[in-house]
Amino acid sequence: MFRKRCEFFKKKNIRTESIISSRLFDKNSILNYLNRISGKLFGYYNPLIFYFVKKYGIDVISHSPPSRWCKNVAWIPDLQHKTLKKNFTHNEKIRRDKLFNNYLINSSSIITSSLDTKKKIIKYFKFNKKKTKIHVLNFVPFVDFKKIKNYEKKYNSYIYLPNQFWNHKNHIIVAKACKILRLKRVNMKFLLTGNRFNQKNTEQYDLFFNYVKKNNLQNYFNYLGFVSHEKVINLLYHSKILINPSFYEGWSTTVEEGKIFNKQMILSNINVHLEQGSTRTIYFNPDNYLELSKKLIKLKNKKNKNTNLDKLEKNYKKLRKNFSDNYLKILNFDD
Amino acid sequence: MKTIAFFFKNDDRWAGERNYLISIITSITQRKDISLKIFCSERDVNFLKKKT
Repeated sequence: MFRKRCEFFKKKNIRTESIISSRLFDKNSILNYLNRISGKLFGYYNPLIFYFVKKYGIDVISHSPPSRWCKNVAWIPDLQHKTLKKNFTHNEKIRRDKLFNNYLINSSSIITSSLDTKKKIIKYFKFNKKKTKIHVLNFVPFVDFKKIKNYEKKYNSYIYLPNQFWNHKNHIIVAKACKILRLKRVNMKFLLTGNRFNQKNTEQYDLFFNYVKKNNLQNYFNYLGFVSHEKVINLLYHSKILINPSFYEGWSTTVEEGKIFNKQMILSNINVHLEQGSTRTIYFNPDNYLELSKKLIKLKNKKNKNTNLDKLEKNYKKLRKNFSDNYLKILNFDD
Repeated sequence: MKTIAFFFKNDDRWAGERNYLISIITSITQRKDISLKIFCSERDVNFLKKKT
């Protein structure tokens, strides 16, 4: 049943003997259905996990719910349902609380990406702090520098907005700021990528582009749709400025990628962005489009100085090494 | 040699989370003291192939 082969992971330099693919994890298979029933019936005692642990000699399951049969490290990416409550239904809030409570009570360790999330976990949840440790692992994303070196630049002098159209991503403020720019006859180009859908529909996407159309701002925006991560990285490297107007982040991957490329960034002044920002970051209130428009004008005439890729790569390798070491420290195999 | 397992799920709606997990995994692939076991579906693998 198990087939150990995967071109994708080969590309990512992962040993192929590490990959165990099965219909058990295929969303629409009967095996997956049985797997989910088993998970619901037995939860913490799920015998399938016992089977995998014994068959493959697993020491720790990472980024996974707790299990009786093996040490685990659970991941709590964010607590958005506690701060932006209107984005969640009553049932979603209950489900997330239940899920994170289980993690906090039964896991060996918890990983979060920001100090802000850690503080919120301590504020909103009751758990034994001596038993379950919360670790902040500042994320350093994977970047394939070879792919940037071989990439043909297609767009010139643009501000990059690579956010999926989730409710909290706040694309609309950028359109509102552009309305001001248009009145002041200031031209700019924004390149957008990311899935049109939020969890349920295309409401935010429709709201944004209806506003753009209504105010005749089409010349300001170029939406490329959902693109591969490889393309995201290239668009980011060749951009003039990275913008993230979000109302909430657990930890922004694109901001980290922007830092790797020493990019000029303009970010909403939320706690996590303040925690993440670099010396080349300016902040704005995500409710204030006037402030954003002023800061965009201020940045307009700044030249895009892309740092030499070899130099960036050298620095990136050090960051990744530290990231890897910190991650393995959290797994703490000596316990 | 210690063995770390991941249960990998692929979904465009959660592209950020997917990239996060890939980044974690790739950060330890070169470690000789670590054995990795990544569990994923055939469907996810094929989908990822198309996307990359």
